[in-house]
Order: sequence, then C-alpha cells, then structure tokens
Amino acid sequence: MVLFRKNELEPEDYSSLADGFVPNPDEVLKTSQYDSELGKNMARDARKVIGGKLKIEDFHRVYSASLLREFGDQYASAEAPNPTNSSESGPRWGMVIDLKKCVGCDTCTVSCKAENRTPPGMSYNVVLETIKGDFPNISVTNLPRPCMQCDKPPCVQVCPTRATYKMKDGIVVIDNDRCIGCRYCMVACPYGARSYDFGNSYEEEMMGYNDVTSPEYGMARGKRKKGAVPEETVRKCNFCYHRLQRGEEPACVETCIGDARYFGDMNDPNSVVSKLAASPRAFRLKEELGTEPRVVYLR
Amino acid sequence: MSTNANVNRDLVAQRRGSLLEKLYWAILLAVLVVGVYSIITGYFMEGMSSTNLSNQVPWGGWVAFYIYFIGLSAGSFLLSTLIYGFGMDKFEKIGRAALLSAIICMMTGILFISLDIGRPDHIMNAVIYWNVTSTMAWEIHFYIVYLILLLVELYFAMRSDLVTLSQTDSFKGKIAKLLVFKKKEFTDEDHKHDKKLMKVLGIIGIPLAILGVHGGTGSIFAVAKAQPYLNSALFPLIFIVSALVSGTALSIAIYVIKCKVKKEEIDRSMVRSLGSMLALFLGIEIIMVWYEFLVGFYGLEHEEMGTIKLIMTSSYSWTFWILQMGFALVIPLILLVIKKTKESINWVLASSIIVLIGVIGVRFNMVIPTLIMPKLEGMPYGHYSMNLSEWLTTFGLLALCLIMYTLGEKLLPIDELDTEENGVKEHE
Amino acid sequence: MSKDKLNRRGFLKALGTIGAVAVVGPAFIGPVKQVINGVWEDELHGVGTEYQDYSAENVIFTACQQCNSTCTIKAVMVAGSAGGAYSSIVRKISGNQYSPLGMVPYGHINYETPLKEAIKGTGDVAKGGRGFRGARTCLKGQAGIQTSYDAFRIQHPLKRVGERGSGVWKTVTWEEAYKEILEGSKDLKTPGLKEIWAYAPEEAVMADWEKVKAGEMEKSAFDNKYKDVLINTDHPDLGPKANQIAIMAGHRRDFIERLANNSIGTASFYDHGGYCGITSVMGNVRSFDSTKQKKRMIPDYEKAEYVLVWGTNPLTANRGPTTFAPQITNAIDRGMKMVVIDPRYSKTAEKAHMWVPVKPGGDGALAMALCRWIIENGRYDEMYLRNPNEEAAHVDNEPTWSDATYLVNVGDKKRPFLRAKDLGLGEEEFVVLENGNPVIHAKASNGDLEVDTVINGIKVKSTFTIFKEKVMEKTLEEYSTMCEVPIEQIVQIAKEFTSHGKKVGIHAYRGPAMHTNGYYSGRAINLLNHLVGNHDWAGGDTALGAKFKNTEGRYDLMGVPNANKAWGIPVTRHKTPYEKTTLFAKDGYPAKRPWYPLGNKLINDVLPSSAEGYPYKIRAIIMNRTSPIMSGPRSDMQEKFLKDPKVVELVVSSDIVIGESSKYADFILPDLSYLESWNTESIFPIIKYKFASIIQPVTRIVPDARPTEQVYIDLLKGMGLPGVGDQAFTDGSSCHCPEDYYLKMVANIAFDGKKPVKDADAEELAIFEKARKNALGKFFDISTLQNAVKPEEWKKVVYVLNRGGRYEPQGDEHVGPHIKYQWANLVHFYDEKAAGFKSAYTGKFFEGVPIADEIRKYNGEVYKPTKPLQFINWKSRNMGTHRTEGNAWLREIRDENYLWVNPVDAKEKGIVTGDEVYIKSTSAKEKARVLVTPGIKPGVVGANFSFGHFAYGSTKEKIDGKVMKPAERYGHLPFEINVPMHEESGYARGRGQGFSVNALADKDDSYFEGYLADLLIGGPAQQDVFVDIKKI
Ligand SMILES: Nc1nc2c(c(=O)[nH]1)N[C@H]1C(S)=C(S)[C@@H](COP(=O)(O)OP(=O)(O)OC[C@H]3O[C@@H](n4cnc5c(=O)[nH]c(N)nc54)[C@H](O)[C@@H]3O)O[C@H]1N2
Ligand SMILES: Nc1nc2c(c(=O)[nH]1)N[C@H]1C(S)=C(S)[C@@H](COP(=O)(O)OP(=O)(O)OC[C@H]3O[C@@H](n4cnc5c(=O)[nH]c(N)nc54)[C@H](O)[C@@H]3O)O[C@H]1N2
Ligand code: SF4
Ligand code: SF4
Ligand code: SF4
Ligand code: SF4
Ligand code: SF4
Ligand SMILES: [Mo]
Repeated sequence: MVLFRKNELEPEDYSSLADGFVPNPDEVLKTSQYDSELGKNMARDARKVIGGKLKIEDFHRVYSASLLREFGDQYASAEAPNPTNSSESGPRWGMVIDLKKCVGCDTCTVSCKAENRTPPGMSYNVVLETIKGDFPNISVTNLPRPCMQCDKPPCVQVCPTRATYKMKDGIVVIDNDRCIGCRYCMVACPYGARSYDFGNSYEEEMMGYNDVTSPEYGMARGKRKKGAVPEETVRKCNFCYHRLQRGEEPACVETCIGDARYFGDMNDPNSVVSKLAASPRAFRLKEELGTEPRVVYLR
Repeated sequence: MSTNANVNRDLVAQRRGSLLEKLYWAILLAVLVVGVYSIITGYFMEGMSSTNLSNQVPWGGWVAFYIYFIGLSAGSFLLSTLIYGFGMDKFEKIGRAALLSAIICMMTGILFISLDIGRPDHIMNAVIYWNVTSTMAWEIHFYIVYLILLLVELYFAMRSDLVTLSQTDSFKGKIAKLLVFKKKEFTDEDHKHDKKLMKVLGIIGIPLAILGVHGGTGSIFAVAKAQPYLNSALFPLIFIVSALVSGTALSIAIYVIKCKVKKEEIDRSMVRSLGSMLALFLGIEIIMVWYEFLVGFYGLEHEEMGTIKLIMTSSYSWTFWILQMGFALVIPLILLVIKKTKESINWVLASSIIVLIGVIGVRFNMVIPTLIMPKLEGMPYGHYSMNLSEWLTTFGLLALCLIMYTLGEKLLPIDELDTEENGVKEHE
Repeated sequence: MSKDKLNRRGFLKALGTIGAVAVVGPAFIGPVKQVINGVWEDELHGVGTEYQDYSAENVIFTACQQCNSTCTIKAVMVAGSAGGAYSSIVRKISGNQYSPLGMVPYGHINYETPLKEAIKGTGDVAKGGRGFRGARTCLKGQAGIQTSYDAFRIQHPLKRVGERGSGVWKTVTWEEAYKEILEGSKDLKTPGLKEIWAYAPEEAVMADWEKVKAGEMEKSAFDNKYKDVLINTDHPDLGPKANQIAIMAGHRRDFIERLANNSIGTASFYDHGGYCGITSVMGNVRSFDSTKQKKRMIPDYEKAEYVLVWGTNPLTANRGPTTFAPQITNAIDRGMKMVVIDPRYSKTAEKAHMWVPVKPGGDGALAMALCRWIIENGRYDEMYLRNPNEEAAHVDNEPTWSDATYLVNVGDKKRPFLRAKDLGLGEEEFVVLENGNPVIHAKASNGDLEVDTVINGIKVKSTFTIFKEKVMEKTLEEYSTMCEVPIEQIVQIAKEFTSHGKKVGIHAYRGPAMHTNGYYSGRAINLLNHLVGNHDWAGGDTALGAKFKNTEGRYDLMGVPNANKAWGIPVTRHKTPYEKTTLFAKDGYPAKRPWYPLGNKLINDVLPSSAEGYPYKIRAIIMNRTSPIMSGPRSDMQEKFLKDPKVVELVVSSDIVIGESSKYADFILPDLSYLESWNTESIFPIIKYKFASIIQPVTRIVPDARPTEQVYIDLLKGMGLPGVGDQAFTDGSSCHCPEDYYLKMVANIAFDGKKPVKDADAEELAIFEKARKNALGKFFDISTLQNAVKPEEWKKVVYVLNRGGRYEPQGDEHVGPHIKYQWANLVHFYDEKAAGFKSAYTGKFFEGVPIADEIRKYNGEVYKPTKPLQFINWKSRNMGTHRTEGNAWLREIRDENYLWVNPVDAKEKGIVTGDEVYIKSTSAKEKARVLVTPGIKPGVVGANFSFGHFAYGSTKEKIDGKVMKPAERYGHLPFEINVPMHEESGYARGRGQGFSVNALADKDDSYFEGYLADLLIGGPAQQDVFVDIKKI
C-alpha cells in the first residue's frame, strides 16, 4: 500500500487511495477468465459502429460466435440489445459519491434508518473509515456504502427464486413476499450490502417504532408485526424507491452533510450524475468483478 | 453341555444386544425430542435470531452440516454406482446400504438446509420459481430428481428380496408386500431387467450426482465471486473428492459397525480394498488442497489471504489443523498406507470414523471463515460459533438421521437376503 | 408382459407425470421465459405503488434541538397507532428548504413559494439530482425522533422518595408538585420558594446603605429593615434573597431569562454558556468594540482562499455542521486551502491541506509566533491599521478600523486608553498621534502606528507598540517550543495567511479557549485577523448575525411591568470586580474564590460556591436541560454538592427523562420535548441572510407533560410575581401559557423590517389548521394561538409559522467586495478592561494585549501536573452533548468514547486498540477502551464528550414501586461485534457506555473544591486535564 502524504492531497493521492478498491485495468483484464483481446477488439469496432463506419448487423455477425464461445448462455442476446434494458424511456437511476467531499459523518447512515425504518442490526448504508499513515502524516478515507444496484448483480444471479431482480430503472428489487430467506444473496454480494431481517425492533426504547414501516419498493406493509414480511427475509438499500416515485431524492442524498452524494438519471447525458460519472476521478468498487455498480465514486 | 452353554451365551448376548438396542433407541429418541423442542422454540418461534447467525456471517453450522450430508450422500452414492453401474461386484454387499445411506443423508442434508431458510412459508417459491442463473435453484431441482432416482434405484436393488420377503408374514414382509404391488415371484428375467435398469440408473445418476448434486453444491459456494477464497474452479472438484472420501468412510464405518453389532463375519478383503480406495481419494484430495492454497496464496488477494489467515491462525484454527488437516487428511492417510494399520479392520474403521469427524471440520471451514472475513476494507470482522439452540437442533437432526437409517435397515432388505438367511457367505 | 408389470409401469408413469407436472413442470416455464427476457430483469413483482406520499397537511416546519445549533427542520407526520398515547408519529425529519441553513450550496427556495408547492418539491431529481422537498440535517438531527419518542420519557411529575439520588420516585399531580415547591415539603424537609424568595429594589437598599455609610442611618435599623430581604445585611451588595434562587436554563432561555431578570429578580441566572463558549466568546467580544458584541470568529467560507480552523471541528460539530460542512467541502473543491490547528486529527483535519497538531493550550504561543513573524516581516496591512476611524477606513474601502494607533496611558497602573480629556483635547474620545501630534481619534485620518513617547508628562504607547513589544518578548524558537509547532510550519502559515489579501479567515472556537489561558489565546488569534484587516470582506472574517427582531416590534417581550429587577452579585461572582465589593473591603487579597469581572453565567461554579457559602449559599435551584454534573468540571464534586441538602435545600428539575442531574432533584417535572413544544434559540451568526427561526410543536407524545415555561408561569403566579398571568407584558396583555409569549414573538418576526411578510391566503390558513390538527389532535387549539396576537397579525403569523421562520431571499449577500451584514465598527488590539482588572488572589493586573501564557492556577502559580499525559476532549461526531443517549440510531454509529492514544504512548504503556485502561486524573479514575491512532499528538490522549451516562435510561429507577429497567443492548448475538472504528454491525449496546470526561477535570488546590478555569473569564479549563493510563 502506498504511504500517504499529508497536507496536499492531490488527485494522484486519491487515486492511490482508491487503489485499495480499484485495481489497474490491465491487470484486471489479465486476470479475467474471459478473452480480453476479444473485448478490446469489440471496443474498437464498437467505436466504428457509433461512428457509422460499421453496420451493427456486421458487428454482431463478426462477434456473436466468439461471444457465445466466451460467455456461453450468459451471453443472452446476440441480435439486438435487450429492448427492455436500455432503449426504454424513463430514468435509470445512479448515484455518485464524491470521496473528496465525504466527511465521514454517517448522516447518510442515520437518515437511511430514519427513512426506511430498518430494524436494529440493519443499516442499508454504512460508512467505512480507514486511517493510513503515521503521525503526523496521515489520511483517512471515508467510504459510504449503499447498495451498488449493480447492473450485473451477483445477488440476483444466485437468488434461487428470483425474489431479487433488476428493475428497468436500474434498482435491484427484493420481493420480500417471495424471498425464502436463504441468504445466498448475502453471501454472493461482494459489497456486503444486504442484511437479514432478524425481526428485531426498537419498540422497547422508542415509542411507536412498530407503528410505521417504510413502503419499500412501493409495498405498504402497515405496522411492523412479529413474523410478518419482511421479517426473516433479506433487505437492502433500494435507492429509496418510494421517495423517487414521489419526487424526492434518496434520504441519504438529501441530507448528505458534505454535499458529497449526487443522484439522478444516468441515461440522461446532461444530468448532474452523468456528468460527474464521466469525470476522470470516477471509479467503481471492485470493478474487476464485473458487477457494474450503479454507484460511482469520485476519488 | 456345550450346546447349552452356547445357547445360554447366545441368549445373554441377545439380551445384552436388545438392552443395548433399547438404550440406542432411547438415546436417539431423547436427542430427537430435545432437537424437536429446540426447533420449535428456536426456529419456529424466534426465527433466525435463535441462531448465532448475523449479517456478517449469514450462513453457519446448519449449512456446514447440510453440505456435510450432501457430501456423504454423494460419496455413498458414487460408491454404489461402482457396484451397480460398473459391476464391481466385490462391493455388492454394501451396495444397498450405500444407497440407503445416500438417501438418508440426502434427506438429512435437505432437512438441515430447510431449517436454515428464514421463511418456511415461502419455501415452495424455491420450486415454483426457477432462476436459471442460480446454482441454488438448479440444486433444488437436482435434489428432487436425484432423490427420486436414489429411491427408484434402491427399490430395484431390493426388489428381488422384497418379493421374497413379501411372502413372509413378518412386519417386514407386510411392508415388502406393500412395496411390490402384488408381485409374487421374481423371475430371472426380472433379475436381468432390474440389473440393467440399475445400471442405467446408476450411470444416469453419476453425472447427476457429480455435476448436478455434488459439484453443484460445491458450485453454490464456488460461484460466489464475493468470496475469493471459495471462488475457484477447483472448489467443486475438491467438494466432490472430499465427498468421495467421506462417503467411502461412511460406507466402511456402517458396514464394519453393522457386522460387529450383528456379530457377523466381516468381509476383510472388501474392507481392505475400501480402505485403499479411501486412501486413494485422500491422496487426490491432498493434491487438490495443496493447489487450492498454493493458488490462493499466490494470488495475494487481500480478502483471500485474510480468509486463509483466519483459517490457519485464528482462534478457530484448530478446526483447520486438527480436524481438516489432521482428521480428514493426514492421519487417516497415514493409517491407511502404513502396512500394519491398513491391514487391520479396526484401524480402517478408526480411519473412517476419524475421517467422518474431520470432514465436519472441513465443511465448517468451507462456510464460516470466508464469511467472517469482511468484504470491504473497513467493515467489521464477523463472529460465529454455534449456539446451544443450533447444537440441539443439529443433534436432533443427527438422531433423526440415525433413526431413519436404522429403521431403513430394520424394515427393508438392505442386507442381501440370500447371504443372510442361508447363512452361506458368498465369499467365504 | 404381465398385468403386474403394466400396473407397475402405469404407476411409475403416473408418478412421473405428476412429478413432472406438479413439481418440475411449472418451474421450467420461468427459466425459459427468463432466458428469453434476459437474466437480470424480471416482470415486476414485489413492487407496489404505495409511496407514503405526504402533503402540506402532514408537514410542520420547526427547528432542531439535538445540539445547540438549532437548525431549521421539516417534520412529516403520520397517524400513530390508535392505542398509543401520542397524537401522531413523526415519520421523518429533514431540513427546511425555505431556510438557508440546510440548503448549501443550492440556496434556499424563495420565501414566497406557496406552501403546497414547496412541499411538493421544486426540483427535478432525474436531471438536477434534487427534489427540494426537504433540506439537510446532520445525523443527530435525523435521529431526533428517538429523543422525543423515548420510552424513558417521564410521564408525570415525580417526587423523590428517600435520600436525594436514591433512584426511588413517586408520582404526584402537578398541583401537589407545585404546592410543595411553593410551600415546602414536610416529608422531604425542603423549603418552599415562597419562603426562600425575598426582594427589595437595589436603589432603595443602596440608598439606605449609603446613609449607613454616611452615618445617617443606624446599621441596626438597616439590618432590621432588610434582614428578611437581603442575603447579608453586612454585605448588601450581594443583593436580595432572590439571588439565592439559582436558575439553570439550558433552553427556553429567552423566556426564562426575562422572568429571572425581571420577575424573580435573581442575579444567579444561568444558561449553559459558562461551560460552553464563554471564554471563547469573551476573547472575541473583548477584541471588538463592546457596544454590540461580536461573539464568534467565523470566516466567509463561500469566498475565502485560505482559512485557519483553530480548535474547532465545523465538519461534524460547531454550530452547525449542517451549514459549515457543505460550505467547506465545496470551498475546498473550488480551491480554498484549509489549515486545521488541533492536537488531534479531527474530521475537519482529514480534509485539511495542513494539520498542525499544536500542544493543547499552546494556541496563544502559536498565535503570538504568527503575529511576530507577520509584524517582523511587515506583512500586516499597515494602511488598514493606521485608520483610526470610520471615515478614514472608508477612504480605503475598509468597513472596519482598529485601535492600533490609539494611545494608552502606560504610566497609569491600570493602563487605560489615553482620553482626549487627559490632554484637554476633548472628552472621552481616544487619542492618536498623527505625524507626531496628538489628535482626537475621530479627527485623525492616518495615525502613527508605532508610538512610545511622553505627552504632557504622560507616558504613552500606541496599542500596536504595546502589542509588538509583547510579541517580541519571546523569540520564534521560544514560541515554537511552547506550542510544539516547528518554526518552518509557523513561517509557512504566517506567509500564506498574509498572501491572500482579505480573502483569509479564521474559524476558532472551543479548542484554544477551554484552558486557563483561553482568554489570552482567543485574543491573540483575533489579532491575526486584525493584522490583515479582513473583517467584513467577502472571503474574510464575518460578523453577520442579521436577525428579524423577535422580542421587540409589535410586542415588547423583554419588559415586565412592575419588574423586580435583578441586582447584586451572582453566586459565581462574574461581571463583578472584586475590588468594588464589600467583601474585598473585609477580606482583601486573596479572595476565597476567584472573581471574574469579564465572565458571565458561570454555571460551572454554582454548586461549589454554594457549598463554600462564598459569597453566599444557594437555597434553591430550578433547572432545565442542562446538567452541571455531566457538563461542569469535576462531576464527582458537582454531584456531591447537588446531592447535599445542606448545599442546596430545594432542587427542581424540568426534564424529559431522568437525567444525571435531575436524578438528584427533589421534584422532576416532565417537560415537553423539542418536537412537542414552542421555543426559540438563537443560532450562531453563520449566514448572510436576515433570519429568524421558530420551534413549534409538531406532535404530542406525553399527555401530562408541561413545558418548562408553563412551570415558570404557574409557579410565579403562585408566588404572585409579575411578568406572568394577567398584565404580564408591558402592553397589558397576559401570559398564561407559552403560546401567549411565542405567538407574539412570531408576530414581531412577521412585521420586522421594511415590509412585513405576506398574509397567509385562505389555502395556507386551511393548511395551517389541518396540518396541526393532524399532528397534534386534541392538543391543538387554534384559539389559544389566535388569542395570543391581534386579529390583524394572525395571517402573517400563520405565514411565518407555515415556513418555520422568516428568511431573507438569496441574491443580496454582498455590497461590492464586502459582506452585506457587517461589523462595520472598531476592532481592538487592546482590552482596556482586562488591563485594569486584577487577580482576586494576587492582586496583580491582567494584560491588555494577548500574551502567550502558561497553564496557571487561581493563585497565579504555573500548574504542575502530576500526571504525564494531557487529556483533551471534543464533541462527539454522532452525539449531541448529553441529550441524545436515548437515540439508538446514534448509538449504533458509535456507542462509547474511546480513549485516543498515539502509537508512541501506546507502545510505552503496552496497549493496543480495544484494550481497556484506567484513566487516572487528580479527581477520578475512569475506565475506557483504547483506540490507538496516529491521529493524536504524542503525549496527548483524548476522548469525545457525551458518554458515560449513569442515568437517562442507563440505570434502573423505581417509580411508584415499579422498577424501570435500563435500556438493553440490541441483537441476538452474544458476541461483542463492534470494535473501535468498525461499528457497522448496526447493533447498539445499552445506554451508559463509555466514560464521563468531566469526571476527570483537574483540581485546583488553591481554593475550596477548586478546578482549573480561565483566570479572567472563568470558563472551566476543560482541556487542561492531566492523566495517567494503565492497562487493565
Ligand atoms: N456532533 C456534535 N456537534 C455539536 C455538539 C455536540 O455535542 N455534538 N455540541 C454543540 C455545541 S454546544 C457547541 S458549543 C459546539 C462546539 O463546537 P467545537 O468548538 O467545534 O467543539 P469542541 O469539540 O468542543 O472543540 C473543538 C476542537 O478543539 C480541539 N482541541 C482540544 N484542545 C485543543 C487545544 O488546546 N488547542 C486547539 N487548537 N484545539 C484543541 C478538539 O480536539 C476539537 O477538535 O458544537 C456544537 N455541535
Ligand atoms: N469537558 C467538557 N465539558 C463540556 C464540554 C466539552 O466539550 N468538554 N462541552 C460544553 C458545552 S459546549 C456545552 S453546551 C455543555 C452542554 O451541556 P448541558 O448544558 O448540560 O446540556 P445537555 O448535555 O444537552 O443536557 C443536559 C440534560 O438536560 C436534560 N434534557 C434533555 N432534553 C431535555 C428537554 O427537552 N427538556 C428538558 N427540560 N431537559 C432536557 C437531560 O437530563 C440532559 O442530561 O457542556 C459543556 N461541558
Ligand atoms: S452524509 Fe455525506 S458526508 Fe456524511 S458520511 Fe454520508 S456521504 Fe459522507
Ligand atoms: S451491491 Fe450487492 S446487493 Fe446490491 S446489487 Fe450489487 S450485489 Fe446486489
Ligand atoms: S434470501 Fe431471498 S433474495 Fe436472497 S437469495 Fe434467498 S430468496 Fe433470494
Ligand atoms: S438510497 Fe435510500 S435506501 Fe439507499 S442508502 Fe440511501 S437512504 Fe438508504
Ligand atoms: S447540527 Fe445540531 S441542530 Fe443542526 S441538525 Fe444537527 S443536531 Fe440538529
Ligand atoms: Mo456548547
């Protein structure tokens, strides 16, 4: 690990800071189980397609065989991009968190608790604090971690019942009425973003806690009742779906003390988040796993 | 005089035997009752908070036992296929027992994992909805098919004896009667037909067991890229090999113990060859484990190193060094290659039992350390050890497993009738 | 084939079919579909259309009280459970989008936005990322619900059973409680307020006293006349017996202070200021003209280029982080450089370009070193400093001017400013030398900066010269040794600080102040700003603090008809020079306890002073939302005295839970929490907009609770005192409930300024009523509100209440290069008052200019600690003082205070992170868990404040024979999961973790039950604590 200088944290420092989380792309490519040459070629030709120098049909013809060989059945559609995924209108939500501005206050964590009324032992968002260096040259990284709403979510991949899946707006849903509580998704999530509802409550210390629950994914569940869904199922950050639907940014974004969290439609190239996500400071956690998180960090 | 004495001795032995047997049943039932009590008060009344599971360590002892039993089932079944699929007749004696134990272990494994499900009321969703990308979804369906296959295979393996038995008036006979559907005689044609069917089923069963059930169960873990320690292609293979190890050990143990209890002659040569087979499997496993850790270390991947460190140096590392390395690998391997011990039935039995205990440690180390290791730097380490309720439940299920097995042995013609009833040991 | 076979086959087939159809069959449909539709997405299931949306009728804007920042907030209410005692559930708190406090950098929405529209949101989440349906609060603010809905809330008035602090209580009715508080309690043997209270106006008493002194009146006659009224007829200057009623008002201060000053007439009125910011405040106030007080030192983060953050932590503490944090992060983004001067690596230091781990208490030395380098190198703004008055300043486009050129009569022992009358030039004006000639300051335009001469036989020096001489007394090396900051670093800061013109500023607060030398250090830091003359410049030092007036205008809310004006010496002897008292005449030097002529509201010294009976004994304490035990120095000592009926005969506490100090009360009266009540608390001057906020009820949780104001109204009515009841205000209106006061306050706010606010239209009036009916149910009576103001005011009152206050719109923050709301006045290098005051112990004069002083005891000796490590402390990132312990959500973030230890010290002591240690100071031994971190200076250890509760739901209490068990830890796991810095399990332990910082405070053995405190101001030296640590 690089030792961090104090005083002037330059972009490079943040990049080395982030090294703990994002490895060198070439190395990632090398370790990939997939053919990275193929990927590079495709990227090159994709640019041609965009530039109108190559027909999309030809592109598919050239690559579909190799892709099938490489990815097998995971390679879903060789013909045209899945119509439900990208071409449909409506926002595809994304979040950007600026680590340079995050002050590690945990306001996001608490606001999320207050908004989603999660039980004890369950925090959809946490802020991971790591300190590096020796007195007096030290630095701290505060890494807020909601659910990444991965575009290729391992949690979805493993869920035996499809209780968890991806919505068109980019949010990874959990259908708590379907979830069997096997917790495989928790084992599979590389970000530790899922938690199990063990059925705890704050009622002993807080009058009225059980009175209201949050309508996660737009599902009104009334009072929190022992044994009723979502107890004994898995839960996670949902990008405050119910707030989005009523025109509010997620609770953690609204209240972020460092003004470090941004939210919006990643499909709209002119949105604030799209612009920030295009910044050279942008990176995503554990990019090498191919999960394609929708939460982008700025180093 | 001497006959009298013999009769007396037999009587005493029988009485002692039935006393022992009563004790055996009493203990099993008691443990089962306690287990059921803990399942009701814990699992049903408190849900998962009756366990020591947490959001850091969402899988624990029951998952370990689940894969332990799936592994036992796999091993037993694969052994049985050597007999029925590949005609290694010298092991025929243990064929049905192996099948029965494969079934019972499978059921026990499924019971364990069912108890680990937070919402039993939603359990049918696991069958109704099928996520093609989910190894677990595939597993659930494989388990069903596999269990059916095992049952069918056992049925046909026993059919001739069932028909014979159905003629007797004993309780066993009545059950047999139920099972044979009025069939009165068992012809040679039937015999041939069944044998062929067995072969077919056995051969269908092999890929199902290896790829579907056992490799698949291994894959449940291996595909978790969130868990670099597990996420290796070798992992399902290791899982299969160690299943073979534990399955073989189980078959040896069942056979030898059964013979001892029943005071029957032990087929020494068979046990010895089973012992060598066990040694062979252990040998393969050692090689694989070596590469697994070598590659793991070589990757210098933070979380994987962390997990390995946890396994090897944390306060739970005794499970690795003593159970996984000692009991499940090195000690039995040594016992099974040293001339003196490998010749001794008792030592082979001891090796098998050691293996069976050791593999429990192997299974725990597959599940828990990797979950204890935080997934992101800065997150807390998990904590896990089974609590009383989990242990009671576990012992309850173990008792249930033994009860089911013993009942199976008692009620079904698991030992081949002709060898038993004629008193003529085929290989003598 | 036999029949049997067929049958069997048939059976198998049937089995197979059933199996396939029932089990496997349907399961295959899903996968097939999935493969076709894509593996990640699925048809929507488990997703509904209930969004719990809310309208203006579910929202009330109020202000937060989770710490003292008083941020403006928005509360959304939903109906509670039918069985619950509460009128509604506060569903969610966020910031108020109308107010600038939580809207940095987007800016607050226009004040005139119709309520309905504002609640619906004026932003676009998809594109802009913001819905503007709410604003920002900090984490404590988010958790506020848990303060109000705390299951440990006191439900009815409690009367103690047995000894004070026995933990046994009995429920009484309000009437019983009032009666025993007023008339005395036989079984508790407490006197009643009626018996304790006595008053006579100062003029009458002092006139008679003058007569006695002049021999016109017999002393015995005087004694007879006043023995039932005065505390001590030998020392009439101590004032009336009313002063023996000490009031400790942690909140609702405006309301209570008015009554303390004018109704009860007690000089012993306290808020939390004594142990909060008083030393820092006075260091600032005394550096500026005193006609208006400039209490804070806050830079203009929006425009500054270079900022020193000095012993404060604005990213997660200070007042308030909600505003400062986004200002600072955005400023850094824009290129502002920030230096953090703090012995520990605070959250603010993490973002700094330079961290200066100064020696605790070495701040004065560091500031003086910076001044020395700046003066030596001529880097100060000489043009600015030579302006002696407004006119001259304006010529240079400077809004402020300084006393740098003013002359001081250094021949006089008191070293006062030279006045015009001293030279026969005029009256009280100051004098400067202009080209060598003495001129009245107002007439000069370019004073001589460095003067050391004799005029008319009077030895004079300019204040700049006095300061310069003081600065030069020590070399940079000496300063560097004192503050343990390397010279290179000092030079670098000094150079940078003087390289950005006026766009530099300093944010200083409690760190440098809470020492025995805190006043001097604060002064020295102020002079850095003076040297560059950055006041009122955009990007420079700010005064701000423009407020819509709330106590004057439509209603005079300060005055009391037939007032009993408080007079005499407060029990803590602040604001009074010892030498002017009759006690000095009797005792001379040294005085038994310190006197603090520049101090104010020194709540920290009430109990020990009363215990010593110096200058007199307190007989009754009435307190609300402040806890001398947890917050004052030497908790054990404070506790011992609060417990002792001989020290205080009657203790009445208004509280929402049984807190650590309330625990020792004779009567605890259940207060309404901040989400249930009316209140105002003024915020720090941190914004560039004229501002007024209001705290109003948004729910009702404890039906039988009564706000502290009501308690005062009822008790004072019972005593027949003015200012409450009928004819309570100067306009003849009455005060029977808090609304009578606060609604008038809102009317004042609504009508202040050039133009009053608009009238609420019919829609808004309807929303107002509906929202409150929804939220408060039967506890809302609109007529109570309406009757408190005049009909023509009502619609404007509603307009303000609907918005939770009044906020000037954006867009008018600057006047040219200056900030609009300015100090625009004289700034002082020289504190004439301090120069003229003496230590009550040694009789030696203090200094008029700052010095780099050491840590000293009351007797003037340099304090020689007997313990090797200096212990500092700071505000918890996730807790607000000692009032958020009930917030499980906050405890989850971190539920104890770790002792920070540098690896060097840790190694020496053989401790690692997570170890438990004993911390021993001269006062106490505490147990703590250690965090070994490079983020604290070697030789210094520290911890945050706010933990170590031993009441507040952390220990059991018995009420009416029923035991209230303490709050328990959460979760089903038997393990200790949380380790220092990795507390993400989300499980809080029970209340009362960690240790109490103030238990450790060092003793000062030069006076009775003494503790270290600033020598001029009297604020406790919370950072001059010395400890040893030992691994357990
Ligand atoms: N989270 C949170 N926020 C709060 C509060 C709270 O309880 N919690 N309380 C509110 C209140 S009442 C107030 S008054 C403000 C106070 O706000 P601040 O003044 O910001 O608070 P403190 O934490 O008391 O002190 C600030 C810093 O001084 C440092 N320090 C200690 N000793 C020294 C020293 O000798 N020299 C220097 N240079 N620094 C030193 C500490 O390490 C700490 O970082 O915060 C308000 N905001
Ligand atoms: N060593 C050290 N000492 C310090 C500080 C430090 O940093 N270090 N900080 C200082 C500062 S800045 C301050 S401001 C003070 C703060 O300290 P205090 O003024 O004592 O304020 P709190 O701790 O907020 O509240 C004290 C008590 O008020 C009661 N209370 C809580 N809520 C309510 C309510 O709604 N109504 C009523 N009536 N009562 C309520 C509870 O019993 C609580 O324990 O401490 C000071 N003391
Ligand atoms: S609220 Fe914002 S600044 Fe605070 S920890 Fe969360 S992301 Fe960081
Ligand atoms: S972060 Fe985890 S839970 Fe969230 S989508 Fe990705 S894998 Fe799933
Ligand atoms: S716990 Fe629920 S969501 Fe997670 S994998 Fe199992 S069924 Fe799917
Ligand atoms: S987006 Fe919503 S659910 Fe997710 S962390 Fe933020 S507040 Fe929590
Ligand atoms: S800073 Fe203080 S007043 Fe503001 S929201 Fe936070 S706790 Fe409330
Ligand atoms: Mo304070």
